[in-house]
Amino acid sequence: MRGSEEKREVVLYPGCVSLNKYPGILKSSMELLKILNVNFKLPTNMLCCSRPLERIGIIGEEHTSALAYFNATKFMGNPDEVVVVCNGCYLAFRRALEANELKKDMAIKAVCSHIAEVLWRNRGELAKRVRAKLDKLKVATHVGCHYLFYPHGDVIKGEEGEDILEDIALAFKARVVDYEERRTCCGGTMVKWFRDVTYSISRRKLGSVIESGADVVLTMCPYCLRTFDRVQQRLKKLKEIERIVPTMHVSQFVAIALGLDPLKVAGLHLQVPAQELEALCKLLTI
Amino acid sequence: MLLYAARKGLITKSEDIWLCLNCHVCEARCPNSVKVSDVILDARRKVLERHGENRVLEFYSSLVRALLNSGVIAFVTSSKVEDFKSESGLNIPMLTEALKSELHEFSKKVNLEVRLKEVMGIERE
Repeated sequence: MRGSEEKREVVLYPGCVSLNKYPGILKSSMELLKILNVNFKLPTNMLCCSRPLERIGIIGEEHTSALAYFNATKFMGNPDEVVVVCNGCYLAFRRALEANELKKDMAIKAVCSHIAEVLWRNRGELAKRVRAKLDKLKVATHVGCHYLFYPHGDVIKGEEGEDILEDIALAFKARVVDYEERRTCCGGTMVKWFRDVTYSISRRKLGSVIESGADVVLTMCPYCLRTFDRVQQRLKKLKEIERIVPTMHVSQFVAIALGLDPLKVAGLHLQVPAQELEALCKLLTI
Repeated sequence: MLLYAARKGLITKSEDIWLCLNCHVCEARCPNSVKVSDVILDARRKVLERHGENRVLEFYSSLVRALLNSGVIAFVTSSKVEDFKSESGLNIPMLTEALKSELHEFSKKVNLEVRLKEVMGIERE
């Protein structure tokens, strides 16, 4: 978090995909914020950040920003900080909250943080509470383009490792593996009528992950997670791959590292097939 | 080349603008700091303004309607997810009729409504 922790009003913004497809990401984030003594709340109602419409060209940046202000004032009570769990939401909110004249008109004061940034800043403190033994777990990091190549300012690049996620994984003593397509896009942002292109990009990326011997893909974007999830299911159905490499959001990873329940809190059963889940749980020795 | 094509209006005629992932990798690597994604998105917006890409209507109308009518673009499709959300205190309400009206008024103020009507032919239901 930024500044004095206790008096700051913090809102955890869920994002559509994490809220309605992978709620374990949110449950994990909520538990971690509690552990960090962050007094947060959820929005009163849910309104999409609208970034998926902007990147198609349906609406403009000014509309996405306007909806960010509407979200902040109407559903979040104009907080000091908006914490997001998704790279697309991060781009939409951070860009809006750092620049725009409408922001002054609506007296917006919030800054935007990604939950990965919160965890990265507190990784030393969190690592002292680690319960799980992760030294057998081989992790392939996928930061996601809208954070890794955020076009409107600086982001955390990594200190001990090559990126923000590697730093977090290393803090919890997991083994990070390198792979050739590490900085390649997941392919999920392709327009819907070129879905085959998504599959070919994602297939190349996942092939590189499998070659690295990784047990899990660690990401900070539910949209990337969903892409890897869908593409691997299709590839397995087509018998192009034998096993699915589970994908985990960084909040789920840290929650499990701290000994929180992989199912009841991290909700891994909602995103990892039973066979792969059993194998993964064996590696996450608690 | 990209900027030249954009200035000459050639870029909007190209199928390639729909193949961009909007991942910003090229921007990070461009020695001249060209904002490639901005150029591509500008071209896409122009094409849509003159109704030059019907596939957008086919593939994205439901997404726009979902946003306007419920506030979200992804929905729960599994009872396991529904149960997990309930147990985790994550049943955040969608937009009520009163809130939809407020959003509607706000959308008019910031020209979002007119944009959606012009580009997608979609109005609030």
